[in-house]
Amino acid sequence: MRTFFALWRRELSAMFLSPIAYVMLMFFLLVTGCGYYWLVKENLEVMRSVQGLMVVIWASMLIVVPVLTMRTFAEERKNGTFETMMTAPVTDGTVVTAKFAGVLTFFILMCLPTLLYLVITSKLAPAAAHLIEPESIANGYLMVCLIASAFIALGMLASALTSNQIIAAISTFSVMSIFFFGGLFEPHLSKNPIVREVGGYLSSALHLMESSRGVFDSRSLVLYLSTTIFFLFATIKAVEARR
Amino acid sequence: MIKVSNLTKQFAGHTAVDNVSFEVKRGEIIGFLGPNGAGKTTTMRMLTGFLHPTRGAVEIAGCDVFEDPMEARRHIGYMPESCPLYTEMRVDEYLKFRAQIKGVARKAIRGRRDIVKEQCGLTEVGRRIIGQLSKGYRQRVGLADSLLHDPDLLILDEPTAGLDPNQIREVRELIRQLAERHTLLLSTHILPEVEMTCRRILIINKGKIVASDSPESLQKRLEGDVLISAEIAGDPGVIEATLKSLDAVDVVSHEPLNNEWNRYRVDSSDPDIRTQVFECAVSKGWKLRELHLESRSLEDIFVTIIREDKAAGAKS
Repeated sequence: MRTFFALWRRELSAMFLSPIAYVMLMFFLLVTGCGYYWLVKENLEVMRSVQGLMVVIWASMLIVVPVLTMRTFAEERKNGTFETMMTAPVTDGTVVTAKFAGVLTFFILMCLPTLLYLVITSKLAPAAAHLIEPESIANGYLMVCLIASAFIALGMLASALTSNQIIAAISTFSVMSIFFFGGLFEPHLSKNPIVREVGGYLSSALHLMESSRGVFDSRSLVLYLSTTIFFLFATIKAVEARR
Repeated sequence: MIKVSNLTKQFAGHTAVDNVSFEVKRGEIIGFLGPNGAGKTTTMRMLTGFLHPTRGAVEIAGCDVFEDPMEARRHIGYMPESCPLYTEMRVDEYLKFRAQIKGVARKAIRGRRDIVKEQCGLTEVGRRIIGQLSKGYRQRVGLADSLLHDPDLLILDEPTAGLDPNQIREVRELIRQLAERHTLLLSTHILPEVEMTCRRILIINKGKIVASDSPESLQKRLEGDVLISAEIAGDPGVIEATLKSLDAVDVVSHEPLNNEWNRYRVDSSDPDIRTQVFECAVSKGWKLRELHLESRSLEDIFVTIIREDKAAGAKS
């Protein structure tokens, strides 16, 4: 457990010791801030403020997650620090889970300032402030974290499979795009009922819209937890196999 | 301390390490030599459990490296080639982090860190960022890291690669001090380094161990094959031909010195070839100003053994 926390802290501090953390924070707050303003201003009839916020966070994940995860293993492998790490008495599982926890913690820290958007909205725009409720906020953020976990685990798998960060980022981005756009558009565009059905189950946008309305669906909890565990397991296997 | 049996590692298309077996006793200092691509790094990586072998087993301090990797790794301090470090961290931070993941007891961390910093001459630079340190200092940080958990066995892969002569001397001195307390396995290209520090030499070529002995016995292996150097004035063509015609002389080469002088190197199987050369010079009336027996350096031994191995390989 001690090694887990040491590795977790190191992963988190590595991000704050490099410019990545600050550039990423700036990008994230800029995109979510602008996106939220636009969504809430234009679409209040169809969407609640919390839903709007969750959707912009969700959209920015497509860029944020590949960039945050690409370095996890690829960078260590390129620099050779992977060798010093894996010859210390730590198990592959501890390294993978600690790195995962580090990236997820950073993502959560990054999301915290967006709470301010809701505070500002409720103070300044009473028209948009209706239905900003604690349950929908909590549910929304929980679902964002679950979705992020699954994609972070996916990104780490990509990073563990290559020593090139760009390849890791682009592969993560590509696979995520399938889930994102497949889930976003396909259910509405396709006439095939099976595609609509499956697309609806996998659509992270729909899950978010539901949960940030205050409705918690345990099916999506199971979906994202199992996906996360699957990708983490695959990452551990990838780390072992590359020896 | 180390027991390697039938270790083989195959990568796609080629065999990097081929059925290697050797043993290292506690307290030994082993120099691990071989040309580039001979399989040194691969072998060391397997010893530390970083790479898994295709076949074979490694035991470190009685623990199987692949069956019980955690326990085996606690006995090993390893410094990989090119000494990778987290360059954005400070020296103190880095050593603390490494001590934590190596399982040094919480209360002992500060003490161990200070000891290894002292040992490696890092006391002054604890607050510096690793990325801003010179190569020599980074190498010391790597060494300090490998010493943190006070391992029984130190495995150092080219600890002096890329350093300037002054830094090489410092690191070598440090290694010599470490050798008093630890079993040591180090690979290097710099042969005088091995001559000065190691009591046993393992030479690996094309994935196979071709020699394993003390430097002195390896030297003996080549005895009866002497090399002398003579400085003689006169026409080099004639002199070289005459020397070659002497009994038991195998190879003669010369390099020009100033004026009419040349240095001749004579390779012979006759241990007493010097008298013959002297008598020859007297009878021909050559001016001879120096004549001495050259001791074989480790470099010669290395080159000869690798060459022998190549010749044997060509025959079979």
